[in-house]
Amino acid sequence: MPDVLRCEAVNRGFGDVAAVRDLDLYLQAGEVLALVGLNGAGKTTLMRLVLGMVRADSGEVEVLGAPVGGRVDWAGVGHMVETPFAYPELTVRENLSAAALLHGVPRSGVRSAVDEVLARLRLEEYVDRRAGTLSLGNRQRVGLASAMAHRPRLLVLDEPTNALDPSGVVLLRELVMGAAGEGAGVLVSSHHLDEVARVADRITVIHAGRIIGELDPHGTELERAFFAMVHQADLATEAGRAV
Amino acid sequence: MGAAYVVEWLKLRRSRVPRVTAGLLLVVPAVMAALFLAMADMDRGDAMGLKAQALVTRDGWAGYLDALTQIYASAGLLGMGVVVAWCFGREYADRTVGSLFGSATPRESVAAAKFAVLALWCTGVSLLLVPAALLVGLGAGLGLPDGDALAGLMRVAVLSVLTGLSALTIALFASVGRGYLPAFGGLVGLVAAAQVAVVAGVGGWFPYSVPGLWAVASATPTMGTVPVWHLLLVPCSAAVVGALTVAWWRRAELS
Repeated sequence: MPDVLRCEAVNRGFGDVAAVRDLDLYLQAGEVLALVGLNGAGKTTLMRLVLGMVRADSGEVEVLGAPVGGRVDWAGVGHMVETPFAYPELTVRENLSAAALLHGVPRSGVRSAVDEVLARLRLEEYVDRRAGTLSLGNRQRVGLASAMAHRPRLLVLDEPTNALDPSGVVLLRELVMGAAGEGAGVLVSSHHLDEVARVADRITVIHAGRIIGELDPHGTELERAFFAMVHQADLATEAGRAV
Repeated sequence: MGAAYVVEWLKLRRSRVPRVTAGLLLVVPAVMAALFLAMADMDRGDAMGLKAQALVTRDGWAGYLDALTQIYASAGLLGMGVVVAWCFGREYADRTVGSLFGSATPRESVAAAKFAVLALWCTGVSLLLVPAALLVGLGAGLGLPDGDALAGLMRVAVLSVLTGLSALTIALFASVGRGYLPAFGGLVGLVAAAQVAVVAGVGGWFPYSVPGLWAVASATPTMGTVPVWHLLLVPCSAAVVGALTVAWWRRAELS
């Protein structure tokens, strides 16, 4: 399977703070890679680097075989990082149509793409409602639908379960696995280890801007393994400082 | 038409801010001008009356249009600046700008589309300003306008278009400042700077005061004229600001 995402020796700082340090990462087509880490670990910064929202100080980020900042085929990328694509003055259908158009779906194909994603996200009953009148969870669903309407080959989702109710979480799980089943690479971040273990092929742990290891999605005691890994990384950092 | 133009036009049509601002720009300055004319005619002698007499020195349509031109020179810049501030600043304030990254439609196309739909909106408001001001004038009992009055109405429409072009500068404040507040601060600063430029005697060379100065001077025989070619400063400065704003959208990171 080809890599849909590749990061090599990527560094990015904000002032004196190194948000991402010497980070290597790859993601293949059809694979779900979960990023887990504490708040401020660098998960969102990494996703921002992938999407060109911030530029790397050094290192290489390649999306769909092209360097970010070069000729990336962005029509093959879908994402929900930061705020969902949900303009409050537009209806759900208008928001999804706008997202599909901006993501390169031809005008003749927008209606069918929107109808399909409305059904997949179970948003039909809200189709004519303005996004500003929706609950937070349903706005999140609109954001997910906007990210997926054009059937991307790389899907980047930052904390996608935030604000979703239990049925939304189950639905998201099905969507992520469905997208991967159709050949998309999915990069997803989450705090919920049990949740990511259900969908991820690999779980990468990021801490203080570095990748410190991987967790076995099929393993038991994920939480214990995660904290042990973080603790080890902190000890190693402190030992390094002492030397 | 490109995707960015379709989407930006949809957002502009569906939002309340451009609709409400258009309504206010079409009604409030014209009604204020009619009121100033009526107060000047009353010869009240109080502060408001004296202010009205200073603003309106002629009778009938001429006086009404003098007042409208002076009021619109500032009110137009403020009103159109608010819509420009909303159009660009909302992407940062609502944090929707993040959705515009990693997209098949480049952000610079989105910024260019914003300018295009704002120019279209401004032209529409300016065209509607003629019948709106005409109706208010008729309602104020000024009778049917003569040729000079019709020319004055057209001049107000041209002033409105030029004011809209001047207001596009606010896009740069909203983009670099990443939100509404820097945009509104810049807007107040521009309006103040335009007044200062007029008082300092360089208003004819300042892009943000030259439209108003030209329109007022053209309507008032006692004032000196502003050469028409000075109006070219307005599209030139709008083009420079537009290019800078598009470049910002192309290069700026998400903060």
